[in-house]
Amino acid sequence: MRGVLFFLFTLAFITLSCECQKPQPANQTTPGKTGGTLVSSLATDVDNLNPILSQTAAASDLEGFLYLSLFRTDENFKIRTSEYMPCLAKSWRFSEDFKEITFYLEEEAKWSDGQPITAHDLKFTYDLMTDPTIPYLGRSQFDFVEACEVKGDHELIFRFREVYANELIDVGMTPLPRHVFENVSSEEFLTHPFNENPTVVSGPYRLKKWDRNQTIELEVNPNYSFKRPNLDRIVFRIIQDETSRLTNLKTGEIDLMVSMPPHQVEDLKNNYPEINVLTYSGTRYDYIGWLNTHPLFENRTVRRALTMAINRQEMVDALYYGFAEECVSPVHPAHADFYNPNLEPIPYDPEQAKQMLAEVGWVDRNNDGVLDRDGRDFSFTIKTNVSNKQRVDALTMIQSYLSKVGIRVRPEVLEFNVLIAQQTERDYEALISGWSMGTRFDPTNIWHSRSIVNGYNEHNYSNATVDSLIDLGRRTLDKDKARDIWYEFQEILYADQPYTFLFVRDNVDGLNRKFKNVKTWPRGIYFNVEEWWIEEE
Amino acid sequence: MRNYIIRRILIAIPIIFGVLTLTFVVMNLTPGDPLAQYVRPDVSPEFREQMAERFGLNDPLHVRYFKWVRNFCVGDFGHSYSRNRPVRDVLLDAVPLTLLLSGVSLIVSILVGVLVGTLSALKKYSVYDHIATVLSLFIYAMPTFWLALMVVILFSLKFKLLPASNVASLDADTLGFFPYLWDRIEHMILPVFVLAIGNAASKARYMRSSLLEVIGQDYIRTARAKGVSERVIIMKHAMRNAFIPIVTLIGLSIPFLLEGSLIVEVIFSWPGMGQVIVSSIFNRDYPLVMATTFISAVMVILGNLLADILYSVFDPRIRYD
Repeated sequence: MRGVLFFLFTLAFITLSCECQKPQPANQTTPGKTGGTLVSSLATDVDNLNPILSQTAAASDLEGFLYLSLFRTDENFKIRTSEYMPCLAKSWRFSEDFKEITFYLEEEAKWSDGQPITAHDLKFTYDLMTDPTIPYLGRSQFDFVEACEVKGDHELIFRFREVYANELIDVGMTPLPRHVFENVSSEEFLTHPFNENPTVVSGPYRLKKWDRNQTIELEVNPNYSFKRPNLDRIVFRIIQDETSRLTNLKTGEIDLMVSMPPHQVEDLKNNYPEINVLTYSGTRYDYIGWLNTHPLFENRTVRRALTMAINRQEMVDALYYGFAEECVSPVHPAHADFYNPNLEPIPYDPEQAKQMLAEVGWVDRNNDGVLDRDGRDFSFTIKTNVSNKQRVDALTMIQSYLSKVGIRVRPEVLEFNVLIAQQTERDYEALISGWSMGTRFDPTNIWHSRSIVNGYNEHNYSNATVDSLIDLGRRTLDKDKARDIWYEFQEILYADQPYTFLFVRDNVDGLNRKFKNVKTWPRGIYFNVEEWWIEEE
Repeated sequence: MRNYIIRRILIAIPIIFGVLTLTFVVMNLTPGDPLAQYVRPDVSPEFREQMAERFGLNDPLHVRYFKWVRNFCVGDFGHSYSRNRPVRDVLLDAVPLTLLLSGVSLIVSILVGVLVGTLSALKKYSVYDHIATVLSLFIYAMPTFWLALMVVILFSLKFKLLPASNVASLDADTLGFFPYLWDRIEHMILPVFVLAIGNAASKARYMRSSLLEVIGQDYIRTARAKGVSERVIIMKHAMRNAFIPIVTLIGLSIPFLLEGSLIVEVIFSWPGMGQVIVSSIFNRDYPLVMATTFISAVMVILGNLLADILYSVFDPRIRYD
């Protein structure tokens, strides 16, 4: 039975991946019109444009224009292997024991200088990414890779130490051109001119000009192996201040502003008909992290009562003008395969919260308006970072909600770097923070008790069942089985309330209406930017 | 004079080192994790540890200090943590833009301030003087961020006369020389105006009172009695003496030439030193903080020295031997 299942899986991968986009001559026209420029904006400049070395979030957006990966994820945020779309790899095949993946590369794919993109480029990139002297952010993606081997110019094999669900996404590499870096030592690689001026790229666009902290200009890559993008040029103007970005959007100096302040949406809709405000679910969620080993928060009844005492829907409306959604677990609704739809947000019910707190001994015995137990008041500090206005406002609201059930909260607003340092040192009682989730699904770093010592389980949450579910789930390839496991994982977190999950924020982007055929996905607006086109008035 | 300058510069060296040492200690004792940017679910926690090792953050404070001093003495400012680039490159990008903006503003503010102040003093208690007084006090009291936002709303959003931000238009470099020059000037008008107007107002007040005081002096009366023309009296005798306080003011503004103005830079997207300094502190980007502190310290000392030298130019009685 197991063998048959694996066979069916493998078959599914191969058949699906055969419907790939064939390379086409660069000048072939596409639906919509070609030509025109998109002027977008960035809040900060990127550090460099070498996907191995860049560390800023904006850089990975830009690198999406310049470099192709082995495959792409689709806009529905499907995270299982069968739903990936071929790109540089025209197909791939798992070995029967699922410990090996073979990629079959697109033979026609070329670098912008006309050289073919081969398995040697990928192997070369893999070697750089795993080189301990090179500071590559995502190195842990290869933790389970035993070997990467070239088998002919267009065949590449990854061999894994163990079988696990994220095998494919972990090796979904973005190759660099080996011929540019021939005879370059890893020390020279760090300061190679390519990093600031990538002359040989694989993506639909190439770098035309980069004025540091001012403008980054991309133009169509004439040697692009796939369908030519419609827009000739994409420009990013670097404008640090949010209000200035908004002014530039209003004056038409920029066409696109991502992450608009939610309170401005109404004004834009009413007074700037040429601007289309796109709102769609994002991947960031905010939470209150309780230090689970703190005497006040050890008991999950207490944590549930705290959640119940906080009116999350009202916060969504007041802070985000409705551009957010209450959330119940760390699994993002966009991860439709694993998101457990049966969990409803814990209702806002201060009366029941009081009752639950009384059950575990928290009663106001000395009539000072604050609950107490064993002579200790229920009072503690919640910390958050000053740079996020919504979190600071959220803190004030939470303080007032909790005071209604007899809990005294001292708000403390810190610089981001200080908050992170104190979080790492467990120098806090509770804090408001957030996570931004990627397409890769693996809760180990945040929820496994192993990550208390070495990871982001900085709220000291430890539940043996959760640990074993994570260990099992990340090794389960069968989607239906994995779904059951992750559903249960969410149910336990829901019952335990190690965090009070607050809300998933929407992406709110402003884009000039002349751009047509715009599709978004939870990771942002650039999902299908190659297919956008401009309608002239 | 030359000996004096050399002596001043030699004295400056220990002062600068003292400032840098103090900054180093204070910055490193301030709570905050310089590697907070790596706390992301897609980055493994080991990576933060690896970067800490790479940047030498795991060494004890004194080891880091001496390493920093050694590198600094050979001109190596190190690698900016938050910008993931050599500090030298970060500074080379920001310094010319800041110098351009603050240099032009300084010149404009001196010219306008001296002119308005002189006219005020010459036409003491006239309608013009009253208007200039009220206006300069009003402008001086205005917060820069408010003024900046107002001029953007007025000139960019409402009248669409001037660009709201950035250093140049898109595709400006494809223009011919004069259109290009005009494009750059256009982008400077609003930030220079905002930066210069407040300073001009205060300089006008100083100039007015200083000139009035000088005009009342005996030697001016003597000159008038000699029959020297009023023009020569003002331009040659009075102005020169009245300049002393302005020179002090200019000397004090020299450091700001390179520190930039955060508010104006942020609102007008002018990528200068102000932004670099503030973000380096918030990000606990120690190498960048040290480099910008060094620049500021040098500029303060140079500014003071320049003012002292200018005194002797305007007032030959002041000598340094």
